[in-house]
Amino acid sequence: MRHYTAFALALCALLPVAATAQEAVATTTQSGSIDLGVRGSSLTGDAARYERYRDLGDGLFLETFRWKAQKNGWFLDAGADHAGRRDQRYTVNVVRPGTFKAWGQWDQIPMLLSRTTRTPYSSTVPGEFRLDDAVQAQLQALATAARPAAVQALVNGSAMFDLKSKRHSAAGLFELMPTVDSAIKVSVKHTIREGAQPFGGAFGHSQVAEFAAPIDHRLTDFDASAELERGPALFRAGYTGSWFTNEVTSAVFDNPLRATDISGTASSGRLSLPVSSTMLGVNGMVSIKLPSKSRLTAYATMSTLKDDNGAVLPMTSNSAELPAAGLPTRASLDGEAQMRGFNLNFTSRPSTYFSVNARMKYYDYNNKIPSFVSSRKVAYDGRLSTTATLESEGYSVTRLNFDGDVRITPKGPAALTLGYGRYTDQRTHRIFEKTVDNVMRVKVDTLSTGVISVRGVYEHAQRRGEGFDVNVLLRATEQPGMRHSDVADRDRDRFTLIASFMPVTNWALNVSSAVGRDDYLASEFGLRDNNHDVYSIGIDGTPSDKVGLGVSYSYEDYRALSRSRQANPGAQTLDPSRNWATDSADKVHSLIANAEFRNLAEKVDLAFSWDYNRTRATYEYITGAVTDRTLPEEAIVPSTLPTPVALPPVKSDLWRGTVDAVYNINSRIAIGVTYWYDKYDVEDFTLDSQAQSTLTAGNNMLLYYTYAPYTAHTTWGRLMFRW
Amino acid sequence: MGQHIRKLGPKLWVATACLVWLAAFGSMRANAPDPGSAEKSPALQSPAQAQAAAAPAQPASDATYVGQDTCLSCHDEAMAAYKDSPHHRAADKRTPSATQGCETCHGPGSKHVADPTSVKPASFKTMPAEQADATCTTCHSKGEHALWDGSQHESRGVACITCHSVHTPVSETGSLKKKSQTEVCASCHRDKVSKVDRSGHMPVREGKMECSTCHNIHGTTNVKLLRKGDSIADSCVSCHADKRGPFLWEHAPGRDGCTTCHDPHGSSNDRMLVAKPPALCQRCHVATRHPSTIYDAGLVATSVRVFARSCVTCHSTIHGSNHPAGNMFVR
Repeated sequence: MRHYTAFALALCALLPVAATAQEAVATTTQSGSIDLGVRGSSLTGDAARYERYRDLGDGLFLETFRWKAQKNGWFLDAGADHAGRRDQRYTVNVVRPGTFKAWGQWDQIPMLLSRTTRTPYSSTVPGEFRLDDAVQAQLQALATAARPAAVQALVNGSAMFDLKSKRHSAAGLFELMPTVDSAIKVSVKHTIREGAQPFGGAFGHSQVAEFAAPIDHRLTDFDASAELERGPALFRAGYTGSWFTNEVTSAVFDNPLRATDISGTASSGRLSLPVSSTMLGVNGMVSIKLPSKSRLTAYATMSTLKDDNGAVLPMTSNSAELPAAGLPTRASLDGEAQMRGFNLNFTSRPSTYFSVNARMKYYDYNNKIPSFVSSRKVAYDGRLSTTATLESEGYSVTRLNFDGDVRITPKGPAALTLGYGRYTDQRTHRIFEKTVDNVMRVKVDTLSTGVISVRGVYEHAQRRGEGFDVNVLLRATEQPGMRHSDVADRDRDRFTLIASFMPVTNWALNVSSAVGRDDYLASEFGLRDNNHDVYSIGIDGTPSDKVGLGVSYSYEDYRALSRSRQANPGAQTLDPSRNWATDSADKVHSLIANAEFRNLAEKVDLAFSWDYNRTRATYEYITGAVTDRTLPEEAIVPSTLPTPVALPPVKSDLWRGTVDAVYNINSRIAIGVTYWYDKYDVEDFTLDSQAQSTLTAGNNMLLYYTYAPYTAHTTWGRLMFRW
Repeated sequence: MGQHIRKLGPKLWVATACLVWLAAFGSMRANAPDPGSAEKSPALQSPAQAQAAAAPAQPASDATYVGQDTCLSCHDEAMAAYKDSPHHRAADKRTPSATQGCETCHGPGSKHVADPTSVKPASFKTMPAEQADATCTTCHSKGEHALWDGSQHESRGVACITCHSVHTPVSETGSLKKKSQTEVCASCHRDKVSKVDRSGHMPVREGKMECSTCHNIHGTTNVKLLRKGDSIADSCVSCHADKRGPFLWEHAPGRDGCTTCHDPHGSSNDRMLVAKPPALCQRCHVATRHPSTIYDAGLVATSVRVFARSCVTCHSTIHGSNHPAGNMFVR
């Protein structure tokens, strides 16, 4: 019954389509193709990562089915991909050009995270993760020193299971054009997401239990709009609705080391999962064509987000603390937010040599959830504390953006654009009350010459915060010199260049470059700079109408520096000799090559491709000053911290090669062979199987969700039929 | 009543939509005239069509229309893929095939026929972008394309024909010049497209998503040409609705913009994070004790704050919490 909405939707979409199809098939032109295959794979390593969002199981499969028909002005398209597989998709499209259009789709997206996860938890009630009481009692009785090994033995002795989820969606789009100047459009999409994801629950700073948190979501999106064109004006009005249902809004997980609740430690923990919610909104737009190739567009929207009778969870799952903890100061979430938006765009091209664009965008997110205040807190479901008062801070933001561009096109091959933008954000409960970002842009674009095309942009931006409130940091026991990078003062320079050179019509040389420098100039702590350099070069060519070749290489370099001070409360927080920094770098090389040969010996099509992606990420710790990134006013003192032990680099390499050969027996039938080679190598000090297998210390119960390499050879024979 | 309707919520709207759709389809089928019929409902004709039906119009310049067959007598290669395209559906009165054929877009061809070597018809490959766009937007100016004028691509002189091809489309849908959207977009946005090959990625290379799933390339009301909502976060939570809240305790930078922590195009880190925790979290958190600890190689093998899901193993409700003790996102 849970899926009835999806089925109802699909049925609604398909019934008339089927009626149309029946009529269409009877008499008219039709064409189609079907691509069947038999697949076999040889795989070593992480099968889950190889498949991830696909179903590549062995055996017979329908790769694609396509069918087109038309009769008396009706056009029908139907398609199926991977029919019968977990990643199957079905699409149908019915068009009466100029009058009516209907589109429907059923799509399944699997997500396979791991085939090697283990857990001793069992879950007979959704959201509850239980251990055998006897196991808990046995572990509780052990001496502290003996517990880690016992916990690991418990996990290692558990059966493996697939950690996975799936998204199934049914979508329909209906468009009616009563006149050539008007259109009514309705779209509905219902998505079911089910499965599990890794989630952690803590019983203190030194004990964590991971479990496969349930995903049981329903999301229905409804959009309706009406559009009318009258003379130079276009009017549009719309309604949007979004209903999200989460069937499991809390997770309870047993403590492996505690069979019974006591003050200070619970036998189980409980944490919150997202609540169901509804978002409803309306919008309207007017776009008017003006003289001198000008247009003015105004758009307004308002919407409301509310929770669906969401509840504040109980104070604690610890029965020993619950009497003293009592009830929460509020039982219901009372969650509500109102969003308002208004855009005004003006564009004009009064002459061949000059054009102007101006945009204003206003957005307001008003969080109306009442503040939750409590002087009682049971941290980690352990012990009740009444020493501090907690008060929630509903975050709101108002944005006002202005953008203007003037484009000058003198006689000659290039256009010059000068642009300015001012982005003002006002926020609640952040360290800055307001930030203003001033952006200057210069753009150069060559005009159509057919031989060479160059596009370049240089952008300089300065963001400055106003209304700095140090108490926001101090309340969170943060350093007063910390600045959060998403709102901190920041100078930005960015340059991008894209050039394409076509010396002859069949060949093109493309080069591109993107360079960016973000300097958080006033941040004593936190992100200090964030830079990127990306370069690419590629050649594409069709030396003949039977041959297509292409090769491209790109290099990406991302670097960021952030600063901190390792300190316990007290004097250490003021000691600059305890400063340290993380210099992180991400370097990626990627190479893509492809070749296509069509109609070899008039019957054979061959295609080759090769993809190589090599990533190296490093996290270098630096103690003491970072010479060229230290603020002038900082005290430079020798570090008193021990020299950090360097972290190993993170490696992620992906090779993928494909060969596709098709022999066209005649115009209707073809046979083919396809071969895929996939290889993935990974070394990740946080997530690869080596990292987690060495974890024997501590009382932590993990899922063993890891990254592991794989090598796969996949081959399939194909039979294609066209009519 | 309101509560009852609210509880029905999506089911009511889906059912209503189905009924409306069936009714509309049924009535439309009953009333729609045969496009071949001379008796066409006046409501379905634009003034231009009505005028054209009365008598074939001639252009204002001294060049005249010669008819599609004349064009194809020399340029028959132009029909190879075009004949299967929506532009060639003569049943649709809006299309070139239903009006002046080739000359609808390329202009009247009498002078070219008279002197093929010296006089060439309008070529979209060489004309300025604005001129090419003006031809396409004669028809494609509503719906998905309503905000093209002044949009990011249009204002840079990127023309419709930069990405689309009427005569030699390669893609299955959308008349694109390459097989897929990612190949087209990679021509300019190589740095974004190459990220889909990273280990943390959305299902783009698996064919389940495309660039246009999130972006409307032709112009939108949102930033970054995002299709849904009015902010980056609005766009992300249109699919990831479990992250939209509302929450008792919120992680403010997440509400401000998901891209503070995640790279939507792809990343080598788990969950598409821009950097690996704890380094990512330590960009904003330097409080005393464990938030400001150096998690070097000496701690990797022993500290759950480094390996597995790192900080988020304990702070698992990082997007928001509805627990009275959820202010640190551990509950």
